[in-house]
Amino acid sequence: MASTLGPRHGAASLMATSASTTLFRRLTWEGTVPLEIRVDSKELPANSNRGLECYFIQAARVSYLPLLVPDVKKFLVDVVLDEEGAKILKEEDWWFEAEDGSPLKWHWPIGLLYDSHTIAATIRPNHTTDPIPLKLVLHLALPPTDKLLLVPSAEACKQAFMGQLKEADFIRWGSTKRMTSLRKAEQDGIWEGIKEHNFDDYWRVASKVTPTTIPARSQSPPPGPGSLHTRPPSVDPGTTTTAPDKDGASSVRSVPVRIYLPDGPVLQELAPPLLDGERPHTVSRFLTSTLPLLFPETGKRHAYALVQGVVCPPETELSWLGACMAGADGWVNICIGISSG
Amino acid sequence: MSLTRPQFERACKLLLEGDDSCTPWSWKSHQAFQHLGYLERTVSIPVKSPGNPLDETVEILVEEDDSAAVNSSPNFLSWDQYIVYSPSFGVPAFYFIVWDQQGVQLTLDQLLQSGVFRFDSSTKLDKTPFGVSEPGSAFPLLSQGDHPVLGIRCWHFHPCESSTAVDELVNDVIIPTASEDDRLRCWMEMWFLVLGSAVNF
Repeated sequence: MASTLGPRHGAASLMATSASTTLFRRLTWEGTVPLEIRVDSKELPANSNRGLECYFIQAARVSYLPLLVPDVKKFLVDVVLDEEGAKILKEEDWWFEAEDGSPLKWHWPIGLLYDSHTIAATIRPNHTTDPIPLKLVLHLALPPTDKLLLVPSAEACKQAFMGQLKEADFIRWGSTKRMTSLRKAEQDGIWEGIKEHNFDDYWRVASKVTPTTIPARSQSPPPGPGSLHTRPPSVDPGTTTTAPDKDGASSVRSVPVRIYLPDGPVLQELAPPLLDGERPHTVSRFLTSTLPLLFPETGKRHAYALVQGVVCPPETELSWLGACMAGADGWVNICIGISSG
Repeated sequence: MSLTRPQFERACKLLLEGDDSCTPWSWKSHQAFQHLGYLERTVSIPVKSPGNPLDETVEILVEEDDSAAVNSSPNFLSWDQYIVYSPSFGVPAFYFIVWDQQGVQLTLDQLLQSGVFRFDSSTKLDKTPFGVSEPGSAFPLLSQGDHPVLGIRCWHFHPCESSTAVDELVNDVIIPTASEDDRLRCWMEMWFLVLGSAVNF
């Protein structure tokens, strides 16, 4: 659906999206990682089928652990527990433990948990680069009382997710108007899209708040069916001037981005899409300014950047990442792995 | 006005110069990333007994080096307090954990009963097991979050609305020709004032 009107024609044309943007968003959406969820055998009721308490799943990167709980519960009831054991299951006592013995940050997207596990391995001796499942322990009882622990319920997860989405909105535009102007049904629809893992349902609403890229001139194929996407005026022949794309990826104040280290705090710094208002801000420049020892301006670099499981080319533009490869919560999570040798 | 991280650090250090509270704050920074700093302190608060609301005039803070002795008393809670920088909103944010005498962290319901907050009974609040919100607000007023430097899970007050309230107070108090240091010190003092309307410091 082509449009020759200005950017303010309507909600759909505000967020014109190229086919390549949609492609990368879909690739991000469809990405999965292997999880091995083992139930703590000490907490299994008597008469359980011991030896079968491991649940394997190729989980969506953009999803969250609490959303896997119903499937895990079904597995336990169908395969592991007898009738009596199934009756005494109390999900409000469930909690996940990471490989290092700490309570798992289940409010992180699954893809981030996995990439964090990947980069943590890069500082261990003799680590392998082969992809290995992220191994989690599911405890059915006795959540630790000396740490603040929230029950990994879907409702708590939703609240945490919506908070991240609004925070990303604020970082981009200096206000949360885009998110708060969505009707409640639309806000709920974003979460439902994640719960049901439905790309179209999610992006039907998310496209109203997520910046998009300016598409390449006239080479992009027309948008596919079922999409709200339109071609922006700049693509149409005969347009002599291009109005500034106020909702484009390069127009944001800052790209919502966080940096995760193998062993260190989560870093968050201002990430404007352009440097000096002109040069695209690339991953390379961003990491050089944030982690100059690992990413010196010249000379050998001792680390690499992983985004959605993909090693990021240094010239990748932050604005493009924000539009195409952010998580469902709007955040670009850059995980830093240490290069071997 | 939003603060840069260096401004936040400067404002905190100016505040420390004039800190005369019973339990003073101290500035800490990450071992490897020195620019990631925050204020912290631990105070002890008496356990509220049912039917006997915490009297605001009660001297509830004790010297930090006596806290170990006090915490071994069965009648006190231990309150870890952190003032950290919110890089998203460019303002300070208040993170905290409250422990009971057995070293168990308080739940939200227990926190609301503890006397830590000054929520007015007439204030309408939406409460879930994982947070407290004011109706119609974009963000929860109180919810859980990861301490930006330590990474530990804490309760925190959402910082998004504090800047506007603080700016209004600062503009009433500070003269336009005030120095940067005076403005930063005043900003932090007013921020504590705003936070103090909800938290029983």
